[in-house]
Amino acid sequence: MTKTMGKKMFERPTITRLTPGMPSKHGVGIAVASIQFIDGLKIDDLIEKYGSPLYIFSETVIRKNVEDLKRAFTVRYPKIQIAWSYKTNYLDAICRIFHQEGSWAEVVSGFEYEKAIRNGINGEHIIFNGPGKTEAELLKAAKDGAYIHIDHFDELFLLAKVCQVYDVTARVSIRVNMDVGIYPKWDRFGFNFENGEAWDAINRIMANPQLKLMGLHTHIGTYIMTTDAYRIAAAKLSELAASVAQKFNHYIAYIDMGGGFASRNTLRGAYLSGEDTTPSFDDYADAITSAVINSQIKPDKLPTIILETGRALIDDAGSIAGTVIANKRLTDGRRALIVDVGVNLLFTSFWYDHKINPTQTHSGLVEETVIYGPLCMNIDVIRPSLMFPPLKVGDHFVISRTGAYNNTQWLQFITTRPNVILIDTNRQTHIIRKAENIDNLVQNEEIPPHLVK
Amino acid sequence: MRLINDLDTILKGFVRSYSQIFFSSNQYFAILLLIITFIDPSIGIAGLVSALVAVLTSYLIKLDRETIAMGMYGFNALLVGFGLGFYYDVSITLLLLAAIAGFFTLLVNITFQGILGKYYLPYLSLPFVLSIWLVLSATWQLTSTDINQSSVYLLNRIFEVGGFKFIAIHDWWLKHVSSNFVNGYFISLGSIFFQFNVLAGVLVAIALLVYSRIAFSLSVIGYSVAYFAYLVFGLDLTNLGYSYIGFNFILSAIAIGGYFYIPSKSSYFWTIAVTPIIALVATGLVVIFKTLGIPILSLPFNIVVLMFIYSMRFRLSVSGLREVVVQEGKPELNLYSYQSFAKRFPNYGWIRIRLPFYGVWTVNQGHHGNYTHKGEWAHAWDFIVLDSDGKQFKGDGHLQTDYYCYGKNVIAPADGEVVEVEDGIDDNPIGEINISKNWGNTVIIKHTVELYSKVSHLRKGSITVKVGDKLKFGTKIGEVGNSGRSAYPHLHFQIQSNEYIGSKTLKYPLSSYIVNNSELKTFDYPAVNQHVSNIEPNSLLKALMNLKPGQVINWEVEQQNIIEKINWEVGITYLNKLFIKCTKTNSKAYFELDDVYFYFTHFEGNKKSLLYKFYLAAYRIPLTYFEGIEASDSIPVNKTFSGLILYLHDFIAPFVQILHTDYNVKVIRIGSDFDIKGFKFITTIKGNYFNKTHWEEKFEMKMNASRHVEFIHQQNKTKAKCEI
Repeated sequence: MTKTMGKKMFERPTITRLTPGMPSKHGVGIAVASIQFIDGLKIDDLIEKYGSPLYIFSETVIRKNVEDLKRAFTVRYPKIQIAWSYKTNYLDAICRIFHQEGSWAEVVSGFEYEKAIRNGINGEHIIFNGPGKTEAELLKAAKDGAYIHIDHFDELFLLAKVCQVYDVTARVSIRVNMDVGIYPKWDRFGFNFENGEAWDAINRIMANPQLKLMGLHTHIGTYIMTTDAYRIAAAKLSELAASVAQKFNHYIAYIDMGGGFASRNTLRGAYLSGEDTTPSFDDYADAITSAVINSQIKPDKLPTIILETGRALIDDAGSIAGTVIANKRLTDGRRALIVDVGVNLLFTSFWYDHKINPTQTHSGLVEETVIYGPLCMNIDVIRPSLMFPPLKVGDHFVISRTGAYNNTQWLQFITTRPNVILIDTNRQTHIIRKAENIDNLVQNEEIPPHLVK
Repeated sequence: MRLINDLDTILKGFVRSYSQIFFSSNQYFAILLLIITFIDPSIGIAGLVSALVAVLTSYLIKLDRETIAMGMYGFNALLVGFGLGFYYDVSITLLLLAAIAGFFTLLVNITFQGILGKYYLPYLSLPFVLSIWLVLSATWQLTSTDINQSSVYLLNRIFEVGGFKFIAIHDWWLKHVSSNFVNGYFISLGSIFFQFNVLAGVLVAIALLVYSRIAFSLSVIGYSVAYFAYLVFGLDLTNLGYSYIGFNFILSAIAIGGYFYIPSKSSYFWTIAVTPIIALVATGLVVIFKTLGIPILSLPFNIVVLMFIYSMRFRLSVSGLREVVVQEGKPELNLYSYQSFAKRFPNYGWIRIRLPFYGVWTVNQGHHGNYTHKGEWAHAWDFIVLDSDGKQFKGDGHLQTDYYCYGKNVIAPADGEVVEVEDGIDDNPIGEINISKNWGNTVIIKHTVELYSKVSHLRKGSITVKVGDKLKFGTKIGEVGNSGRSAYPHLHFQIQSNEYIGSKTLKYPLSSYIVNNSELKTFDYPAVNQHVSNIEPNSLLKALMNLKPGQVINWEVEQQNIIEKINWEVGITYLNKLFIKCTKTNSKAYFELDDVYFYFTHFEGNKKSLLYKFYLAAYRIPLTYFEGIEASDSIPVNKTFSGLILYLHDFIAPFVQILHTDYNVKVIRIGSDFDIKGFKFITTIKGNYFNKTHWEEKFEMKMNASRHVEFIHQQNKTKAKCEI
């Protein structure tokens, strides 16, 4: 009321394609809703309090996601364990929410391993993946009783040597790659299933009394949109497990299906929106559990299914709110918007057509727009093309589903990184990573004496 | 070794012949009775010879050794021998007669065993009655036997037994105990052994009391009721003619009140109710048999008890009076075992039906629910899946797929055969119901005769089984849908007694499930709003506790720095009962396993043995694990209490239970989820009465994955190790 009663809202003039009447092959007219609140808190208020740009995480959504994933599996299969994929988001506060929900830690480096230990996870709840483990890391992991997922023969030999020299035993699993009928075929990690490499590795492990084969691991790829791939992967791993049982009378404790469940973001170049095409947790669960249950594994020896789901658990719990810096008209007539969120903060904009919404209401008119970040670098494009309402300088917007990878793959490039806040389940806000300042960034730099003035 | 075994069987069979007269196989009781019979040496020796001949013969012709050792082939012959000894004085002829009679009685015995055994009836002392009639009638013709007159010259007899001291006691008794009622009781007891005097009666009464409080109190009750019944008839039980038959009431009372039936209010009631009938039968028989000139002996007892047991078998529903199934040979044992069994295994042998799904579901409507589980369909469950906010759907809940339970697998709740499948009924849009096909898509599985389970409202086209399929528990049969009278997706589950869709429900408990992730339930009914899930057996616990017949367990027991080696063997009886036997003490602990627990069911033998301690410590061990799991039980008081308090308790035990032994075990897992190193069990046993704990025992047991067991009894400073 106050708005209509007071000064009329100004919106700068736009040029827009007219799509009257029935939906045509170009689709229906596009409406861009505004998103004003996250968990009931006004985004504009949060920006005012914590600055712009601002990472916002919802604890409620994280816990809900874990619950959904667990439910989808436990109603189908008796033994499930989630291991939080540290590389997806290793902010301590985020990890601890997952750990509180019963998740283990899935780490791929000594650094992440340390982080997990610092977050109160003991070695017996850490899955240590990755192709680049050092001798010292392997020794520590073996001593801690972590599950070391061996990636290649050289790692297997190294670990065997470590165990021999230090007289320790290690809990191991092998990562298996395989053809599950999708492209690209990931074969750079682990031992191949089809050519017998995986079976070879298993035989070598079983022959070594210091290596205890605990499970089998696969990670068929990332952002897998077809559940059938998981069905095939689970069936192949189960086949291996059954072979191990048959030959060695050894029953592995778990089958680790890795990650790769898609979030509802839309991939660059995808025709349909991710919201419509992404399989649900139930779909994935059905494919995986039915493959394991239907396998040759004896019903009373069913292994635990471990899920390293990262993206699908955290993506929609995170958002980035930002501010419009400038408006521009490009030479081809398209409008360009320069905002304070660049690819340094939104690394995933290289893969996704992120969903961006203004935080204020608007008249409903949209115009084709390019959204650029603030970096002085040609690659800094957030959205090359989208239909977007005309925002003014200083207006706020929010980019949704940015929880995965952006806080680990972000770039300390050109500028510092802003505050990260968490809205807890009582709608209280907490800074979980303070905005950087120059001192943080230069503290490790050293100046040779001859350069000190 | 073989010879020792043989001698053992024969000796046991002979000695127990004495106690079998009171239905007991207790050897101490038997020896006491044996001594008492020698108050009159003629009776004593004749009985002994008769019984010995019968037992030896039964051994020679290779009858069942267990039965021989129980004294079952000796006691009738023993009674016949008593009879002979009563009528004739000691002589070679008498002993020869006794031997012949012993053999003859055995044949009669086997014949009755065969005839009555077909009806699962005991032969009691019928062989004795028949044998002695024939033997006595025959001996009337013999001339080479002298009549035993000892019962006439009572004082001489007493003097022979105990000198002046006993004479003094006898005088004191005559002076002070003039009650016909009391003396009649003792004479009746003595007359069971053909000793018609108070002294023998008193000794038998003491032996009976020491052996069993329940049997003793029943003997008093039986006698008293009979005494008053005779008064009402206008007769006097203590008259000489009747004191020959007084023991009929005593034996009947013990048989009905405490031996063939579990001692209880009901058994005592029936004892009292039956006694006047025996009086009637006895009086009638006396008249009839007078003409034949033979005594009726224990005929009234035999006739009435047999008819009673037989008649009671025709009851259509058994409540109150319960027949003893596994005869332990003593009223107290039968009672305490039954009390424990009835409490621990009220559903023994029931078909194990579990929840028809995986994971945690919520009971939306239980038995006698608010919505549709009413009347003939009251005993059904509706299950849904809830999130942590208590919502059953995501989003708006306008679509079937919004509901968490929709499309989830439904599994066979127990092994069985599919007998009915209905599919093809559309799933309703949310909020609408289909009244014409109200059960919707349905599967009915037959688990056994008159036991079927039914799941309804399944998703159209999701049913993966067909009629005739044999299913195992856990097989997927379909998916939750919204067909039939279902306004929103849910799983309807019911047990029924026939195979038709729409049949009324049957109240039948689910064998095992977990409530709210924290509480283990067995044979219970999930209630509305409970979050329930199936149990997941722990394979290590199961492997550790699954002791197999033939397995030998070698313990190394350390007590006060002395190390002792003890061997156990796992065995199995011909009734498929598993037991652990301690080869040193010959103690046995019987155990059972189901998919939820390992239980000890019975212990016999030495209470100082390690096996007894293990029996206490592992009385009930869960075979599933979740954090904080514990199990509780109560151990029969006769296995845990002793001394005067238990003796006193025996008197009232058929009516009230004051002593309680409470068992609790806490299970702690050692190691991580995937690498379980083992389990630790902390057992606490408390002896309680009058709401106070009077003693406590604590045990600690560690079992690790490499099958090493460590067993610690703190109070005794005992530490034992073994490998299983």
